[in-house]
Amino acid sequence: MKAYASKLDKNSPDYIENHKKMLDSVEQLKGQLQKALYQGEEKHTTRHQEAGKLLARDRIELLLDQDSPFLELMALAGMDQPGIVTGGSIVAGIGLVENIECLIIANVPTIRGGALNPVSVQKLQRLDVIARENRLPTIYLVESAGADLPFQSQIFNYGGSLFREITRRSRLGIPSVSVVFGSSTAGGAYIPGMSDYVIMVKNQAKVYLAGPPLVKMATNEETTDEALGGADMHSRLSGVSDYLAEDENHAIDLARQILAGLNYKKISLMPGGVFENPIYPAEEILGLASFDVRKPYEVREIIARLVDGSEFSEFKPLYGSTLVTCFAKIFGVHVGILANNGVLFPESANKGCQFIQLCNQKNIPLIFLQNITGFMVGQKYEESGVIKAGAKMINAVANSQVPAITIMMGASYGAGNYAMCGRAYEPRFLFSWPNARLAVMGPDQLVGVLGLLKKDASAAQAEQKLKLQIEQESTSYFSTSHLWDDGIIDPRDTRTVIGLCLSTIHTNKIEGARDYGIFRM
Amino acid sequence: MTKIKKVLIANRGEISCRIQKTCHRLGISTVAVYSDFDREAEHVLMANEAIYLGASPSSESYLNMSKIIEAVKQTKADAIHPGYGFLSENADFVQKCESAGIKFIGPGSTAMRSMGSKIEAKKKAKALGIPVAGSYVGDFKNQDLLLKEAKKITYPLLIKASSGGGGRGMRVVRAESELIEAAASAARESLAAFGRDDIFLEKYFENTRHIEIQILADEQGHVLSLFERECSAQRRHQKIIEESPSPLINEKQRKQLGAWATQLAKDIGYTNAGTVEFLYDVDSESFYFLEANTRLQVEHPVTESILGLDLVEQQIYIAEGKSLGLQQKDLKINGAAIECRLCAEDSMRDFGPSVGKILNLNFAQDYGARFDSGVTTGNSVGIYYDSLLAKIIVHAETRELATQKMISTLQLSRILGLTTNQTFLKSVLESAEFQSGTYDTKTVERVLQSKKSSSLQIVYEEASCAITLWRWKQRNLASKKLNFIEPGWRNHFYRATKEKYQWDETSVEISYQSLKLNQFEIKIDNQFYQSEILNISANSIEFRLNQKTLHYFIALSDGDIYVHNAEAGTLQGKLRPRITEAVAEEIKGSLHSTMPGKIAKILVKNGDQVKIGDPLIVVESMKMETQIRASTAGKIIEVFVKAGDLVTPQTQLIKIEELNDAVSERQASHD
Repeated sequence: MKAYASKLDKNSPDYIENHKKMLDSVEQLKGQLQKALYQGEEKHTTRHQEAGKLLARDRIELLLDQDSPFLELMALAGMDQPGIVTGGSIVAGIGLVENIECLIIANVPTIRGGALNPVSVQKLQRLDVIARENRLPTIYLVESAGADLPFQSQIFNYGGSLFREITRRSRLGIPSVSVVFGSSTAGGAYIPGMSDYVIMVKNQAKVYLAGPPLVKMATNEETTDEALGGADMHSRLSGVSDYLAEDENHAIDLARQILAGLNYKKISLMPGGVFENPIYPAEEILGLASFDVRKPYEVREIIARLVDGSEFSEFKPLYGSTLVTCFAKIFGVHVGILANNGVLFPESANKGCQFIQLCNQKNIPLIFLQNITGFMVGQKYEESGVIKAGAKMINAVANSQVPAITIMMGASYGAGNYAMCGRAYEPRFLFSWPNARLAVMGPDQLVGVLGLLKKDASAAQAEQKLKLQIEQESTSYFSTSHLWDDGIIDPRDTRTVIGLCLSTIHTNKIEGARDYGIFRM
Repeated sequence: MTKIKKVLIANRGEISCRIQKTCHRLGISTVAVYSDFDREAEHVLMANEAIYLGASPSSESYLNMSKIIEAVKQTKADAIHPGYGFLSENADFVQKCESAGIKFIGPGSTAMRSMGSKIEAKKKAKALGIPVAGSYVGDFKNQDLLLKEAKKITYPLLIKASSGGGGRGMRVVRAESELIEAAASAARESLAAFGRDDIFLEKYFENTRHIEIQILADEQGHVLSLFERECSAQRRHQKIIEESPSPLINEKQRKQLGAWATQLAKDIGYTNAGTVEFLYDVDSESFYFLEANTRLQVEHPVTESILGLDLVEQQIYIAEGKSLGLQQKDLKINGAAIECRLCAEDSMRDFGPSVGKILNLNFAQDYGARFDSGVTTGNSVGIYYDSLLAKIIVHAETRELATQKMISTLQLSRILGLTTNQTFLKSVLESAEFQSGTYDTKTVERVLQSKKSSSLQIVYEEASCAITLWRWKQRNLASKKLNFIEPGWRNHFYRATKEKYQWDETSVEISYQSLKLNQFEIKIDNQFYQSEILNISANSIEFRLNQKTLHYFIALSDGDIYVHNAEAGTLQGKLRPRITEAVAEEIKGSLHSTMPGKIAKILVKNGDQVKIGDPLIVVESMKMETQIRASTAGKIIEVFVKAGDLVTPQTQLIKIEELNDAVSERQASHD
């Protein structure tokens, strides 16, 4: 294979201007992430630390192997939602513990006592999916006051899945370890309750169905926190705890010992060894990928900055050319890449469909690079059955069984979102770039459509207001706040993020769907 | 006159190696002996033949006379060289050799008995008019008499083992109340080290210097003084630095001391190499005869250096019956020589012995120093024998030049993997007292005190960086998962990774963030540095810290760190674990051993009441005894060890139940 020959002119005004805009959007992202490091008011964090306790993020840092990478997930969940602290009072991500890729989930006890709100629950539900699909051992760093009661109606009913999933994973041989650092009461008691291994920290953990005041109300019994649900009681009497930790450090050390003893193996081996980095720097992605999603660009330039040695082999390069399909390697792993290079025509969709079948035949994971304004419209295309073509591609994506990773690089409008493996089509991971836009259609079109339908609507002001609302609801921040992705990433980190996800995917088996031979489209 | 063709060296370590070197040079074949512990020791590897003696404890190997004599017969060796220590001054052994027809390279048993007995030698010296300090030799079982005699000599006084040497079995007693226990302990230590428990008392001088005269005597009656050695740099009454000539004495004194020493040797009919030791009382400016040693001394190389002689060669000639080819007038002191004893010991912890494995040893050969060593990289240092690893000897035109040469050699040599006195030796050489030549036997203690208060902040910080980066790289090279991603990569950066190090009293916290492969931002004490790893190996690192390029050798042993750098010399520190392990309910009032070793004696039993400072257990290590004393008053609940048990510094020895008032007293002081 030959490396892609880039045609980039770094001195072109377009490149320079676009680079600046993208860099600004990355800086804005960094600013939002910086804010999301908030772990509660200073008086709370200070009191917490003075009591010899670690902050949620410090617990994670200590639990991880020294120098382990850590891919934090859904860091901006709940951002700008009323009554929610960005992150949903949960910090979670994937990293190495005793050289095992694990999902680590920590309550943030210094924000409203670590109480769970609707965003926390949605985030935990998504994390359950990640743990199951990728067979990741899960370590819960528990300290939560339970449901944030004013939100109870949005939490209680479906929140039950959080406990269901722990035991379903257990049945599949995917272990969960709970380290209880503090309160874990009522429903929350079932997080350690359902886990395979439970560690409780002496004089800190409190695990019971009802606390002393509620017990007093119910049965008139007078008791104390420690007697009712202390670590010592649970380690010696109830057996809810398997390990009694002297302090938080000891608890983390015990959790690491448990992981070390799991004999946990990846089902698919990540091909180790040699690979070449792309020959073009990732920095150039910022100048190449249009900040303005309406502006087309050559997606092969982006692929060349993601794949090993900037080498890729295109499938059907001359047919349906608005979708680039190619085979390449990322960190030595074979991948099939589908990348938009314009609107989808029936031929492009047919080509995508055939390519997805090929990857399933050979057990090759899929990478979707989304920048799609939609399928081509018009009489000619309806007559040629663009709906059928789209349906075929959606069928192929929906029934594909190899893992997929989707990157939202720009536009994601209409059925294009579905055909290119949007959130509803269950890619294993989905990350957005800060400039990404997601909606049923672009704000101009949407406002235009409404204008056409309501010819008498003359109020330009109302139209403008609607346009602003749609624009705001289309941003990557709105998406990530509503957990439509697993996080917004710096475009320059895309290769690293894909690599980490690919390794994670390899913890489970990688096997494509193979009910028929390949249908030529 | 019979030519010696094969010599069995009844010793181990550096001295066995050193003797063998001379033998090989003279075309004499060598036989080494060894214990279990020494199976792969240097002295065994360099010998032409080697005979296994027995288990590691000296009593079963290097002190086992019949096995050694058996070995001589088996190998048909012509002679035994005893080295120093072990059987070297055991007249019974010499007698056994004599009756078995084996040539012993040293004095005859009779001469050894009279010269080696501290008591008899003193009597002879007194009779010859040599000044001798007050002493008591006699019944030690009679406590009343002992106390009375002690009072006569006046306190402070010194208890010594009659057959001892090297400070073993020695005790300073300052008050009457300490005498009985000290005497018993000295006797025990003597018994363990020399197989005999007879001890004696002598006057203890507060400020002294130690001067000794090397003599050589042939069987034809010629006795030569090879001049003096000064051995005042001592810790635990044991020499660590020796030199010749002494900066203390003038030509007249040199002649006087030489005359006394040769007179004594002649009077006794002494043959072969020997040493007559004198004590110099700084306050009265006078010399006293101390004792005579009937063996080759550890520090003999300084004499060899200034005279250009090989004393082992001379010993062999004398044993062959040759007449000394030299006359006193031929002997001229040439320049100055210094010897340092590199020992496995912790200067900061009362010079207690240390054990471990030598992970990286490299002597700085470039300055002309002589290294008499018995160890090499990969050797272990155990609890069974002396802590001496190697001797470094330098010779130069002047004392100043020799001192400088020694400092450089110490600075640039590295011995990593266990605690040694390497840097401490350097501190002594650098002290004003040593450099001016006005030091005495307490100089070492004063240097220790000043070293404790000094800090090497910058050096410690650089060393912490070195070890942090080196460890980072080792983890990086060993990582098997996600290793295609830059170590420590984050999509959402929270904080830099922290590591903590402890160097003596200084703790250093360092945080690092990997920027890209091998490049870091480092923060120490709120200072930021840019750093880059330039070169790395299994035992060294070269890195850049801002503008400075640094090179360090590194060895790790559990949490202990040993580093060496040309500027800093050898440093030892501890890595504080990232996740501190909590110890499950530490037993209150429990006592741990302070050093690795063997339980020599248990002085208490269950139910005994003890008060703070009471001796509880005696731990013996490298032939030194240490008393573990009660740190709290109370009742002995349990003794976890028995005599003969091997212990490490973590071994729990004993549990004391605190007295109630002691507890309440402590609580009160907390409030």
